[in-house]
Amino acid sequence: MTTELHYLTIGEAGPLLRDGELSPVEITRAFLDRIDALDETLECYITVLHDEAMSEARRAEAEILRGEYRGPMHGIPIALKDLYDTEGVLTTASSKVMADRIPSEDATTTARLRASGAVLLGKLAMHEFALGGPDPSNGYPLARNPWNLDHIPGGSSSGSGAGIAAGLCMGTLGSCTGGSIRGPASHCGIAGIKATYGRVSRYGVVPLSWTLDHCGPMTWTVEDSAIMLQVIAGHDPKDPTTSRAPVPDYTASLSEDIRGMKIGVPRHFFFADDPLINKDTLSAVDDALKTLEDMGAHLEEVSVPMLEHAGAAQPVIMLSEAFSYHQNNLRSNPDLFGDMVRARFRTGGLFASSDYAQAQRVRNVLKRQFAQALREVDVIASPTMSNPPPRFDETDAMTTSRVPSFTGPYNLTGMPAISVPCGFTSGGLPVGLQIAGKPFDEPTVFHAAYAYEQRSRLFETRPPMSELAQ
Amino acid sequence: MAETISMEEFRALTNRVGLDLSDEELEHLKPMYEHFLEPVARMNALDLDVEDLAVVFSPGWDPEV
Repeated sequence: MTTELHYLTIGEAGPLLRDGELSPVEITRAFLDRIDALDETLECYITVLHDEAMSEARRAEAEILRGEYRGPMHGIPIALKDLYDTEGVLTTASSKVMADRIPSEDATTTARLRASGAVLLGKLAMHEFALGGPDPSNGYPLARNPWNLDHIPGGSSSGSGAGIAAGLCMGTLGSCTGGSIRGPASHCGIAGIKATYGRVSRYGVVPLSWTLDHCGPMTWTVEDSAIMLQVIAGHDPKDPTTSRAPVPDYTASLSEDIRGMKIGVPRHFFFADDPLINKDTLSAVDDALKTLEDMGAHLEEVSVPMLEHAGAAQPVIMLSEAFSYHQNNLRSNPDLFGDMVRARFRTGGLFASSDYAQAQRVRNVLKRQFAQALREVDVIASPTMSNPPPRFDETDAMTTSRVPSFTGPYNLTGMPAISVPCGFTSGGLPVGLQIAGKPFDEPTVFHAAYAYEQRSRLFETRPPMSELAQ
Repeated sequence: MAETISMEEFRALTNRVGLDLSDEELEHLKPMYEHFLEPVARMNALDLDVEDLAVVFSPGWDPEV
């Protein structure tokens, strides 16, 4: 276990806090000091809640001392992507459209984390309205990749990915419409899971696309994601899209034994001979698949033909729904949007209704084909991203649209999908392994990811932060 | 759907959804829209089964909830 408080995992810190060996006040102060020292460079935070966090930490400490321990998140310093509503705290979605917006109520997920005893350090940078890209024109922090500051941390949960990797918070929630949890998780070398559509409430989360939006945790380890998902999962009367299916014990699924597990690999899509797919990425993921096989899993090639059209269906649905939500402001106050997101939202208004309907039909066929594949295998594995994170000076509004999306298909199907680190490119940038499972079978997804993580031990390697700490 | 669109057609398309764009804005936006034309055309060309619905309501759907 590390001796640096800011690099403790939730799984490590929880028992120490419970047993009184670590103080919530001490650990919260350590994180706030680190934010003060590094965030001017890393730009992960939009709002830092110094006084409120210390007050919450003192309350947690008093409760634990009185024997009122609430569970594994009690006293854990977290932060939230700046589209999760927080009562009385600025929530901007990184847009001037919401520059002064202070919600009067917590999102359901925020409320559940507060009830668990977590300490809120602040609100994290993100791409504007969870779509725009690292856009200097909108005036909000851009968040930099701790592994190489010249590169983006991915998005749209940019501050979440960078903040976890740099030790600026212990756990976060991202949101994901086409890969905004798994993408930055892959690019920042952390774990991040998009739970099944309907597993986590979206009440009080600024929408991008109602039928594609998902919520989920982003953390340093798979265990930490399981702990956080346990707190936020479950039916919410305020969100009619949430499921009443019982929530299983996620940490109970964290076994290193995957002998006999069947892992499907749709090589025809994720490993296609395509110059737009990065070779270092494929090599790292192939090595990870060999590791899983060495551990006793069975690899099987599976076919999901409709994946070929996911790259059209996902943006048509996402941008059409986004235009529907933002259209009045796009007409009356277009200058409030940054250049990147304004252009992409406007594009969403130009698709035909028949494009949208066809995209939804393609989506249903894709769901059926994945369901058929998952009758033969337990999970499906692939690279999380088709390419490493680009440099800031290589990024524009179309960057993510020019290369194949390996995450978007699972937003279309609603299946649970996690990214876990599996290596580095020759340039030292992280690569993620994506593992997807059957609807509401997060336990098997966690199981496979945890087993690989424990074998690879990549969680023992942190970004080279020495240059920043000086 | 064709892979390119004339500026005149593009202006009409943006006007139809109430976007009053300058010539410069139209020039900037048009390549982004055209990027999607080819993959969306291929998607629309798919001959899906009549049973492949766009929307499915659960049998347990309760309009009062």
